[in-house]
Amino acid sequence: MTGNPVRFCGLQLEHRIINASGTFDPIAASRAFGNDVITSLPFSAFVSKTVTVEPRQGNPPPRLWELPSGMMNSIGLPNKGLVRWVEEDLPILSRMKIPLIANVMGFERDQFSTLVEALGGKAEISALELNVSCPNVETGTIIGSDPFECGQLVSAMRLLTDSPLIVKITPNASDPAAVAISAEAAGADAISLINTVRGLALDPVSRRPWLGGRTGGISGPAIRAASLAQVDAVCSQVKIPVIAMGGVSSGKDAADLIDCGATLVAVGTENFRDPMAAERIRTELESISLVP
Amino acid sequence: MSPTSDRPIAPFGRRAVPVDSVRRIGPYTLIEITDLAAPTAKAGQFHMLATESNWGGTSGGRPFLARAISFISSNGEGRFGFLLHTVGPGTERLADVNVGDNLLVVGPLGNGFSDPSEQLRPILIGGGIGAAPVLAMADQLTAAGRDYEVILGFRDASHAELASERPNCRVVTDDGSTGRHGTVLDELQILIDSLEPSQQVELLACGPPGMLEAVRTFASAEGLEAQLALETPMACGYGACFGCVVPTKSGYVRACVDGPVFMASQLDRVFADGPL
Ligand SMILES: Cc1cc2nc3c(=O)[nH]c(=O)nc-3n(C[C@H](O)[C@H](O)[C@H](O)COP(=O)(O)OP(=O)(O)OC[C@H]3O[C@@H](n4cnc5c(N)ncnc54)[C@H](O)[C@@H]3O)c2cc1C
Ligand SMILES: Cc1cc2nc3c(=O)[nH]c(=O)nc-3n(C[C@H](O)[C@H](O)[C@H](O)COP(=O)(O)O)c2cc1C
Ligand code: FES
Repeated sequence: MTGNPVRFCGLQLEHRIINASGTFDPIAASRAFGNDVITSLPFSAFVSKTVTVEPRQGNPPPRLWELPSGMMNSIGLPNKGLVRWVEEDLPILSRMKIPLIANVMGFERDQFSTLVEALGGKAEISALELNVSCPNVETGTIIGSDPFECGQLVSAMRLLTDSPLIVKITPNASDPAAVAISAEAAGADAISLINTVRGLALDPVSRRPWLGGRTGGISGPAIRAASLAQVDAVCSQVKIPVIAMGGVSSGKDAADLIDCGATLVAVGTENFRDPMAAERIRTELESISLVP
Repeated sequence: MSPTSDRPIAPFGRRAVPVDSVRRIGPYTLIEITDLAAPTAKAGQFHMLATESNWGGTSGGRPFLARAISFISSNGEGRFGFLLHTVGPGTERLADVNVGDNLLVVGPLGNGFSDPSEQLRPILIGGGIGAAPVLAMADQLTAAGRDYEVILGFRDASHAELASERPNCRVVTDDGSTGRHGTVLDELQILIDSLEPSQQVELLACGPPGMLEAVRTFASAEGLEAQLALETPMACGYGACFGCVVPTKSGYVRACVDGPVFMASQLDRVFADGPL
């Protein structure tokens, strides 16, 4: 089955299912499942885990807390940093047969600029996803929660690259659709949502926060309805394509998001339960699409 | 890390495999499956397991994620035994399966124990449920024609029932209700004192964090090689989530792909579960 091809930001994708950033590592997966994994991923495009300018160790453990129908993480964006990611990971990822989308995050505008300039022109990278769910070190506000700040950032990045810019907005904002409108006006090519929803868990024994990062991000089916509402709100307000995610674990979940206007659907937490979940979800989605 | 695989390659994806047998051994439950898709696995590797039906939906709404479980036995032809110690909703549900129920299986995963070098006499040390991978390693060494020692520590006689099927184990219990009264460390000291002074040993251990930390401290004080199989909560088991990291001398490392077996010399300390 060849699936239903879809156009997205100038790319011709084989189907609508991609991965959510930070929920699949083809290099680690190839150690567990063999080198063929790199060329047989169940996604139509691959989104990298967030890359930052400097290397990051991430948050101290524990980083996981399980919830009814979901989980909470405080991973803290561990990554090798820009230089080593380009030297070590990019050559391996470029062997994938699907387009690579690089997800990047800065703690200030200059860091975003460094990342966009370094990666925007690379032939191996088809698009950039800006993770704006981070606090601006100068103002303290989460860039992606403020339409004005987000618009300014996107305008500045727009000048630096012709590569498609996807803005991944945060659900922890009073009005995500306003942020999406502002990103579109500033020249974004697509919006992706939702990132994880902020939560807290207490250690059953000490009664203090369990997670090493104190708070964490909720993902999985627990946030599916929240995702659907935000995707619906954003899709009705912007014309650029939307990558929707949040708790997708079946073709029906993907169909819901597409019916609200999403162009692509990203699978995140469900990858953890089944490394090939995206394949099943795509097959289920295709059988649903056949229903008139 | 090189993408070239340094371990048995697991099938890419999750598969449903029926349970062949269920047996209680003291407070533990032993379940067996025949997974024809699985490669020959290395002792110390683990699988991510869930049940196909009724996973979740308990009063607390969990479990949601699969659970990491190492095998206690494998015959090289797809038959795996898993020993369960029920501590929460995931292990409770797994221990509650009936013959014929399907498990959802990903694996085998992780590095597993390395073969101890020929010059060293392996001493295998298991504490509680940590006996599972240790006994799998004992079988692997037997098959390779190696001599070794096994020390198993349990809370009490009912937990130690597991050892009754393994006549050649040195058993200790916390309460002295069977075997020697004491810790695996006490027994280790007695064992080492009884060996020829020229006999070099390598320790291979799995058990609660406190026990592993004691083994690590002992190994480092005595200048011994030690492989420690850590148990840390995991969401995916194949390097996707970065949730299972343990602090090592070279920073946070994913226990599911770079472990779960670590050389004691890689670690400054073995930490207990929960906030550091
Ligand atoms: C490599 C490896 C091999 C293993 N091998 C075995 C084996 O052979 N046999 C076996 O029985 N076990 C084994 N384990 C341990 C097993 O995976 C855990 O005991 C199991 O995941 C616990 O799940 P649970 O739902 O039963 O308990 P949980 O409820 O998850 O409780 C376990 C601990 O997690 C914490 N906790 C409580 N609530 C939550 C929550 N909501 N979210 C996150 N943490 C919470 C608490 O500290 C609690 O003590 C292994 C683990 C690893 C990593
Ligand atoms: C363990 C974990 C790590 C994540 N890491 C990142 C990341 O590095 N960058 C990012 O933009 N989003 C990250 N996310 C968020 C996901 O990409 C996604 O937005 C979110 O999990 C919702 O989708 P889901 O419910 O399908 O998981 C992470 C999520 C999880 C669960
Ligand atoms: S359990 Fe997900 S990275 Fe190890």
